[in-house]
This record gives sequence, C-alpha cells and structure tokens, in this order.
Amino acid sequence: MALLQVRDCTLRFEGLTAVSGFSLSVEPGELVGMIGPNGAGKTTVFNMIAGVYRPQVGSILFGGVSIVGLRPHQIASLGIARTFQNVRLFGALSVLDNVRIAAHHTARYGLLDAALRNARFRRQESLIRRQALSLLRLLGLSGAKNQPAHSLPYGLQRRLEIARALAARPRLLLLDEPTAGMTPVETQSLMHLIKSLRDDLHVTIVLIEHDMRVVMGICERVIVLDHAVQIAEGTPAVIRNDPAVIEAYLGEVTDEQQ
Amino acid sequence: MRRLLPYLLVGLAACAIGIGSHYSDLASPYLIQLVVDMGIAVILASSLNLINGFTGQFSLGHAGFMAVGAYVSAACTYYLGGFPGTPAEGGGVLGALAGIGIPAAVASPLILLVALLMAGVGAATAGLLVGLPTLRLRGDYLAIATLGFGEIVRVVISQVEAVGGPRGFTGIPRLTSVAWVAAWAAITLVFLRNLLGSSHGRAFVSVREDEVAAAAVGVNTTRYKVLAFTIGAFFAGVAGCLFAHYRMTLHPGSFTFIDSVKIVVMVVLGGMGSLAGSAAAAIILTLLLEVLRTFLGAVTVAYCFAMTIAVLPALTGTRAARVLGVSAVGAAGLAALMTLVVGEGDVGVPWIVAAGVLSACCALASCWIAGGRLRVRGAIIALTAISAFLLVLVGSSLLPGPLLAAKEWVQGNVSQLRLVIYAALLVGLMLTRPTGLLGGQELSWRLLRSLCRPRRKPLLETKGRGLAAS
Amino acid sequence: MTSLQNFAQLLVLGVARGSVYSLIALGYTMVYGVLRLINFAHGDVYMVGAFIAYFAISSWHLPFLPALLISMAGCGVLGVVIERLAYRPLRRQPRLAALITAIGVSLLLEYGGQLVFGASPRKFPSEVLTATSLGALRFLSGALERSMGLMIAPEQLVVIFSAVVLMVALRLFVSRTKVGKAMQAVAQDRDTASLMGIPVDNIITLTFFIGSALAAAAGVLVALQEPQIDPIMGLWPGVRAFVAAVVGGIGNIQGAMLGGLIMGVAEYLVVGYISSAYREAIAFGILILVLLVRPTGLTGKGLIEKV
Repeated sequence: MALLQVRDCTLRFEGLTAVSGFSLSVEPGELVGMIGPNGAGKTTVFNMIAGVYRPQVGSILFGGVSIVGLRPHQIASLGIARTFQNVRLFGALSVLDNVRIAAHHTARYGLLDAALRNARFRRQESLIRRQALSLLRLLGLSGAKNQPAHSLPYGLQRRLEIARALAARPRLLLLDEPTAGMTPVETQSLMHLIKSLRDDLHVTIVLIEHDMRVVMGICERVIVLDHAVQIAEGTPAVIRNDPAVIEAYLGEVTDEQQ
Repeated sequence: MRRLLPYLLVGLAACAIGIGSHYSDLASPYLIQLVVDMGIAVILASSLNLINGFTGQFSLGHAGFMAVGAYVSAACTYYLGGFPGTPAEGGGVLGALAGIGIPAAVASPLILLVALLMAGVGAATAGLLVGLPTLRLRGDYLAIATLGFGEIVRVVISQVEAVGGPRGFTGIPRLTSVAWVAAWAAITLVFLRNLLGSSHGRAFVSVREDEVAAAAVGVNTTRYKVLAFTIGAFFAGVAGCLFAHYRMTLHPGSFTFIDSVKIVVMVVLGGMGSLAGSAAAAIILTLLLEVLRTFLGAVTVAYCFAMTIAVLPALTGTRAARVLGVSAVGAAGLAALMTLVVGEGDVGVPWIVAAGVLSACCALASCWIAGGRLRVRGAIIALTAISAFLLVLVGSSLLPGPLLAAKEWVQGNVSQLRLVIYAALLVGLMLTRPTGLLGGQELSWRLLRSLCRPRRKPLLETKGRGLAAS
Repeated sequence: MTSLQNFAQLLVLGVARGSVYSLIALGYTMVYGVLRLINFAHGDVYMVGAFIAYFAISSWHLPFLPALLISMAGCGVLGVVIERLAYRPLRRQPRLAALITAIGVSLLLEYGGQLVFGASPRKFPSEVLTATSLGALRFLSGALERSMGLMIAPEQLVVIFSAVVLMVALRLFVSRTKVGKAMQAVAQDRDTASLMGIPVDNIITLTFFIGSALAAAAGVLVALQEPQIDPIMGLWPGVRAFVAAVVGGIGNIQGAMLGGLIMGVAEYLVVGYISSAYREAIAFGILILVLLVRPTGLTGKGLIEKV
C-alpha cells in the first residue's frame, strides 16, 4: 500500500489557483523529488499534505487514512515531518532544545509529572535527551548543542531543521529546498546525508529542489510542476529529456549551472 | 547539582522569611505588609511571565484574574467562614468544625487553603474563558482584548452589591501571614520552574518563537496557549486571595488596567522568559516604591543610581573592577534598604552614611582599576555623588540658601516626587538595559560563572561609543 | 422628547465624543503605523494640550483660535522631543522595551503634572468661545433646537466641526502630498523606504508632530465641553482612543476615524438605553466582539502569513 496518496487535489486562494488536479503516490522507502519553476505550487503541495492549507477538491491518504482537514500538529503526530523553504527554527531555544521539542508529542508525561519531577518524568526526559543527542551526532551538530539556534551559521541551521524534523519520528519526511543557499561542498555532503537517512533510518523522503545535481544524484523518481499543474513524472533520466520539462524549466537551469 | 541553584535560593529565601515571620511581632506592621506585598508581587510577576514571557501571548489583563481570585475567595470566607465580624459569625465552617472538636487555630489555615484553591480554580476558569476566544488574535490585538476583559471584570464586580459594589468589600478575615505568602511564592516558582524545564516548557516557548513551526513538529499550539492563560490565571487568583485576606478590604479600583501594567513592567524589567529575573524585578520594584516614600529613601535611591552610573564602564573591565563595581552598587542599594528598616534619626542615619561611604570607596577603587578615561569619569561621578549625599544628609547647615530651599521642597513633596522618580527610573532602565535584568536568561550556575569570567564583549550595550573592549 | 429625538440626541452627543476619540486615535494609529509602538504617553499629550491652552487663555489672555494653535504646536514639539529621547534609542530593541518606556513617559507626564500643576482640577475657561464671533454657531445651535428638538451646545458644534476639518485635512495630506505618501511608505516597510531615499527619521518625527498636535486639539476641544482639567485627565480617554484605534484596525487612518466614532456613539447609546454604570464594560465588550469576528480590526487586512 502506498504510504502517501494524493488524489486530484486542487487548492484555490481568492482568485488564484495554486495547485490544480495534483496527484502523487509515494511508496514506503522511496526518495522522490519535486521540481519546477518558482511559483509552480511545490511548497503549496507540501503545505496541503502537512495540513496548513486544506484543498477544496481531492483527497490525501497517509497510510490509508485520510488526513484532509486534520490540523498540522495532528498530522505531525501521525508521522509526517517537514522542513521549510525559509528556515523556521526556534531561535531563542538551544540547538538541543530545538530537537527535543519535536519529540514532545511522543513524551509520555503530563503536567503534574513535570511539576513534581517524578520518576516517570526523569525517565522520559533522559530518553528524549539521549535520542536528541544521537540525532545531533548523526547530523554533525553535537558541538553546538547548547548554543541558541539563531547563532548557528546558515548551513548548520538547515541541518538543525532536518534534525528537528527527524526527532518527530516521521515515516514521511518532506524537505523543502534543503540545500538552498549552500556551497557546492555543503550541498554534496547534505545530499549524501539525505540518502543515508533513507537508507539507514528507513524514512520515506519527498524533497523539493532547484539544484539539479541533488535531484539527479539521489532521487529515484521526479515530479515536475509548472503553473499549478503536474507536467511530467518519471526517473531523472526520463525527465531530463522530456521536452515539456525542458521548455518549462530545465533549459534555463542548465544555463545557470554553467 | 546544576539545577539545584534556583531551589537553593528559593529554599534559603523561604527559610529566612519563615524565621523572620516567627519573630514578626517584633517587626512593624508596615514592614510585614511590605514583605507580604513583595511575595504577592513575585507570584503575580511569575505567573504573568508564563503567559507573556514564555508563551509570547501579550496579556494586559492579569489584574482581572487577580480580582476574580480575590473576590471569589473573599466572598466565600466572608459569607460561609463563620469568622468574627462576618454575617456567619458563630456558625459557618468554623462553627461546624468547632462542633467536631477542631479549634479555630487549626481550622483557619485549612479554610485559607480551601479558599486559595477556590480562588485559583475560579481565576483559572476565567483564564480559560479568556484564552479560548482570543486564540486568533495576535500581538497588540490580543493585548487590548485582555485589557478589555480585565476592565469588564472590574466593572461587573463593582456592580455586585454582595461584595460591596463600588464602595468596597470590608470585613474579610485576616488569614494571610508572611509564612503563607512565602510558601506560595516558593510553590509558584518551583512549579513554574519545573514545568518550564520540561517538554511542556519547551512547547510553550516554541509557541512563542514560531507557531507554524511548532505545529509542524506536533505541538498543539491551541492547547498550550490556553494552558498558559489557565495556569497563569490560577496563580494570579491565588495571589488575589492572599491579598484579600491580608488587607481585609477589597476595592474594585485596585484591579484596574494600570495594575495590570505594573505587573507587565515587572516582567519586562526582569526579562521576559526569566523567572528569576521577573521575581527579582517584582521584589525590587515593590521595594523601590516603598523606599521612595521618605526623603531619606529618595536621596539614597538617587545615590544608588549615581553609583551605578559611575561604575557602569568599569563593569566591562577586569574581574577585580567588576567585583568592586557590583559591591559599590550593592552597598548603595543596602543603604537605600536600610532607610526602610532603620529610618531617620540618630541611630539610623550614621549606618546609612557608612554604607554610602563604603559604596563610594568601592566605586572609586573599581574605576581606578578599570583605568584610562573611565578612571577619571567614574571617579568624578562617584565623588560628586558622595559629596552631595553627605551634604544633604548630614551637613544641611552647610548648604547654601537656594539648595536648602530645594531640599525642603523635596522633603515636602516626597510622595508626589516618588512617582515621578519611579517613572524616570523606568524610562532610564529601559533605555540602558532593554532586555531586562538578566537579559532574558534564566538564573543558573552557568550564568553566574559567565559573569565571573573575563569578558570580551561589554556586559551592557554601549552603542559603540568606543570603549576599548576587545 | 420623542424616542426618535432621544436617539438622535444620543447619536449627536456620541458623534461629538467620538470625534474626540478619533482625533486621539489618529495619533495612536499613525505612530503605530510607522513604529509598531503603542504610544502610551499619547493620552498625556492630550492632557498637556488642554493645559497649554488653559494657560494661553487665562494667563496670556489669548482668544480661542490662537490658543488652540499654540497648544497644537507646543504638543507637536513635545511629541517630537519624547520620540527623540525615549523611543529612538530603542528602535532596534524588542518592542516591549519601547512599550515600557512609553509607560514610563506617560507616568512622568502624569505625576510630573501633578507635581507642577497640583492634583486638583482647574476650570477651563470655555466662555472664551462666546467672546469670539461664534454667533453663527449659537444661531445654528438654536436653529437645531427649534427645528429638530436637538439640544446641541455651541461647544459641541465646535468640536464636531473642528474634528471634521482636521480629519479631512489629514486624509488629504496623507493621500495627496508627497510627504504623506512617504509616511505611508515608511509605515509599510521602513527599511525599503529608507533604501528608496526617504528620510525615515524625519518622517517619523513629522508623524509624531502631527499625531501629538491632533491630540492637543482633542484636549482643547474636550476641555471646552467638560471644563474640568487635571493632570490625570488623559489616562482613560487615551485608553479608550487606543481601543478605538485597534477596533478600527490599527495602522489605518480611516480605521481610527471609524473606531473613534463607534466608541463614542456606543458609549452614549449604552448610557442612554442601558445604564451608565456598565458604560465602560460595554465599550470593551463591543471591542472584544469586533475582534472575535475580525481579528485585525474592522478595516485591518488579515495577516496572511506565507508559510
């Protein structure tokens, strides 16, 4: 059964159709990429899946269960985590706390336990702390664990956002332009990291990207959007040669890459 | 060990106050009222900090929650308690308990406990009623919605004849003591501290930092916003009950939007998101208003301020300069505090002068060690301040005519002047230290250690006026 | 008096009161627009305006119009001074710091005023109006009474008339002149406006000047109607005007005008039909209801956050 099934979703804002008739099926363990010119509707698709917007038409099934109309935090508890196009960290919180907060919905203690600092609280807290520290190690952020998040350099902030998303124990991870603004070296290392997340942690990943090296490098399947509509779908090799895609998007990007 | 510091402090303070209250027959009622007020202010500031500072909800109606707690509990003890001087005298709960052999001395605290919980629950319900509808409001809009709520509460209460209406509610039994207030201040601080150090605390802060991101990681932002209001209101209600059962009278005019603003000032001055900071600010601001009531107090507060200005630059320097600088301010502050306890007269003034001189010596030493231009500038300010201080306090006969007249005018108008000085200090404090006493950081061993370490950046923002701190 | 006349009477009184609130609210909303700051001291500038006019008329024996103008100019300067000393240093700091400073300035003005002027109220010489050639207004007032049975004092006509003139002038200034458009630009995006060459500091100074002048005018006009003035008179009208500005949609000039009128009318209708005791509660109740339905005020644009 497909992990995520988006069927025929349309989202309209007053007068503007952001996404029209979009369908997507993601099997568990896939690494899918979504590309398209700016304004094509890619982030809006993510927002629909994550529950920020509600499509007027269409259905979204996660693990067979409909998630349309659920609130974002409920969808997060079901196992969908995401990062944002513009990094949205909790700036004043420490790096460690940013990761720990994502484990909140898994924490099994109530207000009173916290107030009394009883055994259950201490057990859960140390569990959360251990898991958070191991995630930080995985993403190379251990050294900065007590620094406030806003003081990190940009590249590390993006990594932190991914660490935070992982701490929510997702089955599906939505990454919105994870390598935006990164140097080629940073991009390479993040690329490998994302692939290893899928391989080692068995997280299904859908990512939005503009950087073709990443898309061609690690995505098994690519969806192309343009002006709110899906115009192509297939393996990276197929997409590269698709005339509609080249016309809408790839042609301009290839020039930039040079 | 790391997390013990706040507990230690709270425990120490509670012990000190507990012991002090034991001997409270020796202390004047004025001082006891002051301590009670400080404790209540701590509870109010901490509970508001949860809403405003940690969860980022701009609430200007905290006095309304306090009023709910105060009036609900007062009405209950007045009409049902059976205390002398109330309609239920001889009967009520006291009477019933006496009937089964429980004396009033044991029953009264029990009744207060129940009243406190009722006050808290009543206020918490109000918090729920405020938190739920205002979920969609942001920032300034939320501020005035809460302001509006506070005012509505006040107006409605003033129309209820059963609690005295606009003339006020009198005859409430005095059940609060220093020990009760200290205990509840400690409970509030410990509860909030533990809550905020847990995952729930992180959830509150995540709502403040970025609601969209918080929801995306599974935090139910609605739940936490409402929870912040509910818990904050609970403790405000407790504070209200303590207030009512100490003052013995209640007046709706004590719970206006201005009173809410006073609590907001404590939270901002102490640093949003710092429990220790807001508690400290609550204590300091309450003390400040009292110290300023006398001429002596006003002079020493001014002196304290001057010393702080004098050693400000030295606080960026070496460790010795910093230690001496802080001691200078501390000694001056002590002098101001002593005006409350020891006061005017032949016994008091010499001690105050001694503290003042000690402060000036520390300030001069601090500026000297700091070196360079600071040496001269700080020394000049400190010397001017100490000379003025001594002249005004001790050597009035040496003052020239017009200055003597000025001194007499100030002595005559101290109570008006007190509020002007308070306001001026407020402005001055915000201009020099806008992030609050502790800069929004919570009190911890780490913070204390970092204060003692040699620093590279200035302790206080100096807006690039070229101090050679590298 | 018939019930329709009663209603109309209350309406007119409400409009008179409401236009005063609008004038004060305009100052709040303009400052909020450019600085995102709730200028708590604004209500006290209104008080200072009344006092300046008081001294201008009783000590310097000036007629009404010059006294009004001096008051407006003086308070404009006061507003500029406050901005320069208390708010400008905190422009890059968290907003609450500036808010607390604003509260401090407000307290300074109130208690300082008590210190200097004494706390007891003084009577504002509203008879100065009859001394001027406002016979036309008395005529109009009488005519209204005879024709519609409405009792509107000449002072109230002055209030409504002056308020309307000032608001129209402001509206034209903001929308038609280059400076006014610069103000709108600064309100929308301060940094970009400065990049476009707009002298942001000067614009902000001008905003404070105009806002404070309007508050002074409001103070004088109110003093005409209710001749008692005292140093704390600015507190509650300031709060109500601020509420009015928010109800109308803070940052928005039409919103402030609308909000002020609604506040004034609602107040008088409540007093007339329900009870004067619940006057304030109802006013705030209206506010909360409006905000529940329109969380950014009546004219406010919804805050659509791009995720």
